[in-house]
Amino acid sequence: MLLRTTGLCKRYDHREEPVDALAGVDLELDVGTFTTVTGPSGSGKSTLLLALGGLLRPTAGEIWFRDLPIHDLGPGGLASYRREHIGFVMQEFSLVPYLSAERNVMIPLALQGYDRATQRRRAREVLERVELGGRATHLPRELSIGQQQRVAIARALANEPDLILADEPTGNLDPALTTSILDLLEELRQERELTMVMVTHSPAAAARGDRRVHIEAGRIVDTPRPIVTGAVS
Amino acid sequence: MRRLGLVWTELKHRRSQLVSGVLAITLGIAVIVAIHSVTVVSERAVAINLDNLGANILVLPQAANVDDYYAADIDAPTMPEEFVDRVVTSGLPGVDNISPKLTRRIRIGDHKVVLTGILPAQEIASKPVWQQSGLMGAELQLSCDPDSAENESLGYKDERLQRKVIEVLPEDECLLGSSAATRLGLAEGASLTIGETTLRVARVLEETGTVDDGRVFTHLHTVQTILGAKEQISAIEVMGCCNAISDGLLSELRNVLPDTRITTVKQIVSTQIKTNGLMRRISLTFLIIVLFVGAVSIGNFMWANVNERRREIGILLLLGAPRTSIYGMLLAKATILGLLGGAIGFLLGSLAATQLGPQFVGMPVKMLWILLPIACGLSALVAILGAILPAWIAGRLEPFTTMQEV
Ligand SMILES: Nc1ncnc2c1ncn2[C@@H]1O[C@H](COP(=O)(O)OP(=O)(O)OP(=O)(O)O)[C@@H](O)[C@H]1O
Ligand SMILES: [Mg+2]
Repeated sequence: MLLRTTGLCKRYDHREEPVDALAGVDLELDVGTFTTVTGPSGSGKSTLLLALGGLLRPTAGEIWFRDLPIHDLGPGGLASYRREHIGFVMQEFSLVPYLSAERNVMIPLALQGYDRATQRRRAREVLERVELGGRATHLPRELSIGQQQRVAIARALANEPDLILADEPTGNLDPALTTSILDLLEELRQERELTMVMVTHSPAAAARGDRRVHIEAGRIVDTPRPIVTGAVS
Repeated sequence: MRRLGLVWTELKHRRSQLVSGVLAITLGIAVIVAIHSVTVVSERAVAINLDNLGANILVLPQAANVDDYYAADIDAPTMPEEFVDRVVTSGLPGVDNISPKLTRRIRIGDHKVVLTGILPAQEIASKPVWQQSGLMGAELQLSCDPDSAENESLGYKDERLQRKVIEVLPEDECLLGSSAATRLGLAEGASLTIGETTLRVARVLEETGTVDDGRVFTHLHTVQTILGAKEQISAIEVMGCCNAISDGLLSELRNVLPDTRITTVKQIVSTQIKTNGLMRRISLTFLIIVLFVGAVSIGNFMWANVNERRREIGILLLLGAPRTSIYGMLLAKATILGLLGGAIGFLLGSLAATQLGPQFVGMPVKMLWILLPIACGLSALVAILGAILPAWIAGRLEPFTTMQEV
């Protein structure tokens, strides 16, 4: 078992009325598994990922990473949890605009305290792995969207995390690109025995998971309700 | 990649913003440095004037402007040379020496110089009136005002002694102040043509750090001819003994020359002291304004920068950057801006002071390098103060809101 949540709740204290984005989520992630998360917009998918990644503090419930109580960690502890164990892949435009591909990938390595030569060598390695070795010195705006997303994946992998959290990583990509990015993620996951949680709106992408979780109104529901409008599958 | 590397890269990336970020503080520092550089020189000049010329009396035409002792005779209206004789014949006790002058700003080629006609000591001494009154060759009474070793060490000479040295000056020779010589490109022995008159450069005077450096000294009668001002002079410098001045030499001189302005260097200098005091207060007021405006402007700039970088800050937090490193990054940026603003401000201010300052104080203004670290330190401090709040807010940003907002 890599990660387990029990009764995970997150309430956003909004000005008008509080929003219960997560209302008691129990989830277990085994090492090396690939979990896909689906659900309607606003159902709490992103909130769940952020909580798992130690980016927000749950209002109630527990998150255990192995035997580390994430729900109890302070800001410093959460930051080092993210540095050491988590790799995030967000929707897009998650690269620092004024840093080259290589230097974007170097950020997590720098935060880990590696010396510059090691940072560079490892950044080059992962960039090679996502077939962007020749684009190391390009700025994000000098790369295509698909290439940018591959850099983001390389960056998520650079610090050799245990858990990859991907929030709609192919959200704005065309079908061909979507397939290639999903293939890449899948290859990397198997190659490195990573655990991965991916939020997606695409049923095809969701179907790739070993395990599929559907969320509605902040709760995991066993059987997804059939999608009424424009249902494909 | 270190934090500073990131800060540098970001600064380079948003280079154009840099200007607006440091503009206010740069200008502020520039003004402070300029005022201070000029004030320092002016204050030193006052001290030296008092030391060297404490016992001097300047007789000027009624309409003359007496704000600046050294420049008082320049372009002043004239009075008859006969006034000199009146002083001499009056037989006033306590008059050590007397020196009539006629001074005008003139142009030689492309250069502006101050042409000053003087009567060499020997000729004054040979005037019949002088001899009668027994003032001839009266030695300077150094006991009045001993020359100060400190001033000599600063490169200033006791000017009473120096002026006294001009014993002989034929009508076709001239003496050049050091900067006049440099500007005109003339050395000793060269010849200088003014209008139709040609003069031989008898000597280049040592640097004094006063307007005298820009003067061309020649015989009074030569200047009178050149300027077409026969028998006219613009000032009489009377060297009196301190005791005599306090004993009422000044009012006695006023009786002898009723239609003139008679003043001592102390009186003139006192207005300069007031000006210096004013400059100091302006400096201080400015300092406070700069502290405020500089801090607010840098704070404002940093705040805009933080807003622009919300997503980026979110990414860094996402990748596990501790909040302290976000503060660090922004404060490092503010520090760099501050140092940059301080250094550029220092350079601009010094440039202004050295180029324009001489017009105000009438003597060369030097760059005060000691102000560089002070300017940079002050400016960096102001920048950090201004950036603290934006940095703190940036450190508190929630990574997820910043990721979702854009
Ligand atoms: N910072 C916030 N403050 C208040 N409410 C928030 C905040 N962030 C999210 N919410 C609310 O929490 C709920 C869950 O949001 P979340 O982003 O997790 O949904 P999601 O499932 O990822 O939606 P989508 O598929 O559109 O990305 C939504 O109703 C949203 O309005
Ligand atoms: Mg979402």
